[in-house]
Amino acid sequence: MALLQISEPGQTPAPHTRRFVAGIDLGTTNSLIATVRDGEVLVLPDAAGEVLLPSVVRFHADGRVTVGRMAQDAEVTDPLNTIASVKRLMGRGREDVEESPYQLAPGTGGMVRIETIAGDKTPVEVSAHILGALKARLEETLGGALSGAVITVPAYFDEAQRQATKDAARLAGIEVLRLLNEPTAAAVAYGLDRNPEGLYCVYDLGGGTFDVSLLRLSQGVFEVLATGGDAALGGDDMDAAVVALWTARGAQAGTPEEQRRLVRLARSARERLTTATETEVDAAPLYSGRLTRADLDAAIDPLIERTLVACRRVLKDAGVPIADIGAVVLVGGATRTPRVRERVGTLFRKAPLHDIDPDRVVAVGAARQADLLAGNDGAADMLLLDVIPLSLGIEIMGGLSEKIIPRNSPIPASRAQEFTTYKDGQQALAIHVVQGERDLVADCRSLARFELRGIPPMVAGAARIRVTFQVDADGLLNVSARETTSGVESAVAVRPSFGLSDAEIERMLKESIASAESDAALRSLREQQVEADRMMEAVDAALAADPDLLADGEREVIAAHLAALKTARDGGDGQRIREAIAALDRASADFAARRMDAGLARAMKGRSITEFP
Amino acid sequence: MARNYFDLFGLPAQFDVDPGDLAARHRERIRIWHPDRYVRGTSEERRRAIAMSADLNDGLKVLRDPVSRARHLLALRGVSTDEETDTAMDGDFLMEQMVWRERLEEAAGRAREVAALADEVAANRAARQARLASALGGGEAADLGRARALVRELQFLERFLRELDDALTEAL
Repeated sequence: MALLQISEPGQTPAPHTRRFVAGIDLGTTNSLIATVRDGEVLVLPDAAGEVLLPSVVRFHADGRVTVGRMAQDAEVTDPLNTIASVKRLMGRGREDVEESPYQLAPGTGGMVRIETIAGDKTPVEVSAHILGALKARLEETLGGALSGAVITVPAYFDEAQRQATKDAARLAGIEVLRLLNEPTAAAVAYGLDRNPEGLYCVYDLGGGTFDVSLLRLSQGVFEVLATGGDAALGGDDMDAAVVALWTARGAQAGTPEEQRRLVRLARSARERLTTATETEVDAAPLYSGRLTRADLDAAIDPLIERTLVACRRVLKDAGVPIADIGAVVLVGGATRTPRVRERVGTLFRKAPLHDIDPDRVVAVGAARQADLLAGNDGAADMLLLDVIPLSLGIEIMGGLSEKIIPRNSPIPASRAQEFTTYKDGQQALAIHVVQGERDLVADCRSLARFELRGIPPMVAGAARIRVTFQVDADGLLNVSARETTSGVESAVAVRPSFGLSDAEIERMLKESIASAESDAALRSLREQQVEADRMMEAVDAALAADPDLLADGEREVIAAHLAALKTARDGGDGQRIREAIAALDRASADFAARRMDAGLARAMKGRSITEFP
Repeated sequence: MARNYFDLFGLPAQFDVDPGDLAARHRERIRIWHPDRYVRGTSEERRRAIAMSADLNDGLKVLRDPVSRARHLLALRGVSTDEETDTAMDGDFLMEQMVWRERLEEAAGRAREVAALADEVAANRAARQARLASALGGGEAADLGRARALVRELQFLERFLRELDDALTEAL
């Protein structure tokens, strides 16, 4: 029988809170959160029973922030402070944005900023409010804490956009288990439920982005063979095409409010035409008239054609003939449009799948993946192998981009490249990292610039500088450089040029979102405590699983560091926790290495005899 | 010294590699090493998982393609192919290249002729790959010098084939 525990006064342990992991679809138009309970995916509704949270954030003069439907209602009346489709601005600089319904702050070289009545806001902050609302929804509905999430991003998102998404999560106090490509998530949703083998094409036409991915599923492994798409094409453009049609027919909309009104009417007319063949539109005095299915089809055909061109290109990239595609999965609300289904069906010569609600399928897959990563799912044999969507390169002489990691390379990926100095006595080397397919650096996206300093003076061409590019499983880049004759080293976690610096994130955390944890020091302490818990759990589990791999006396050393971390964790000093984590990490590094090698050896056992000639 | 990718996949360091077997070995290993397996692991485990998975992915790419596989084999035996620094090529080979390039210029825009030239160059590449296989076969007796020249020539041919592919797309 367990002994009763009696706490010292004032040291009552925190009540045992349940912890959940979730999948979050952070969409251009709508966002969702889902979690797995008892093996079933639960897409969580709000108090009103709605699962779709409109990705709209309104900033009020008094500092209040509203998110979702309430904010959406103000889109017409308060258009400049009500931010919709912010996903399109993620990781973008001022000069990337040609037109915007919002007041954008003049370019200062960094990420674009939206001027609101509550001050300038970055897309990262706006997205953090959406994520925060979803987190609150889960915690209120399930009565536990959100301990980690898989967040989906378009497969086509570049480094800066991925980093911005991760930063938004951090700002919202969410630990990101993995950034997952949306089409991959959709395949997970279908794949797990149906246990298929073969090639899948995922056609994802959302509110603001189009993605197409080619995935191979075999022996429990999902592999993304190729991705393509258009980061600025979606249902919003269909609405705009309908408004353009009305304008050609004499609609008059001058003010932003009137424009917004027409756009909303276009969207609802388009939705009605999913089942109806014609519909009446009354936007008096701006416009009124009739919209037929044929009108709509003609208006959106050029947009659909662009998506089909991208599909053909992805198939060509992967060298896969159309006939080899076993199934086409539809994702995104815009795929409810009959013309889209019809033309996708014609291209692939088979009816596309849409049995899982196309608005929810990504969140469903993300929730499954979160469950898997958290180790809850029995299907632990499944593995996602993703690819990098755009080539990473560096600037070489003549303003050209030298591709270091080509697009569609499986991730994680790494590649080392040697450079040398071109002047006698040169002590520093500037490296400019770009992303994109074009040959000229000017046509690619500038990701980061950094310098390797402290190269000992040598004659030109004598230094050997080895630069290693490593892309992790979230598609994020790390660069390290080493001068091999002297050993001078510099490592950079690449903060994209259009991203936020750590200092900016700290500042945002400080002035952060209205929440119990708005105090930055407290937030930072919480982050360290979460990291400490994760680390202690991992080491405990490792000690329990492989005691035979411990060297003499090693258990005692690791146990001492574990105890030290436990003490630090329960204290209130974030810096001390950070140091204790690092110390435990160092003390258990050799043990971790032996465990991983042993895991491999175990898996290879029984094969080696029969298969090695 | 570059790492030995054959070791990584438990394969003997030889030119003949069965692509299906290689893919299966990659899958088997990436299943174990992928960072998804270490989301809740220690930082050290996560670092190693990323590095190891990256090596596996790079190794698959290197060993899957016959030319990069040959280059890797040569590097393991201490022979560098020096494509970046040594630009001296065999005279007959350069002559053949010039003739092909002239034909491409003349055929520009005419899809059928570009396609015929592409087929011819592809056949030439296949013949060279077969010669590469025999140059690298035979264990200790392998003709490394001959293999080095063939790798360098195949590098040229592949670049030219890509240009032909672009020209064909343009002509269609």
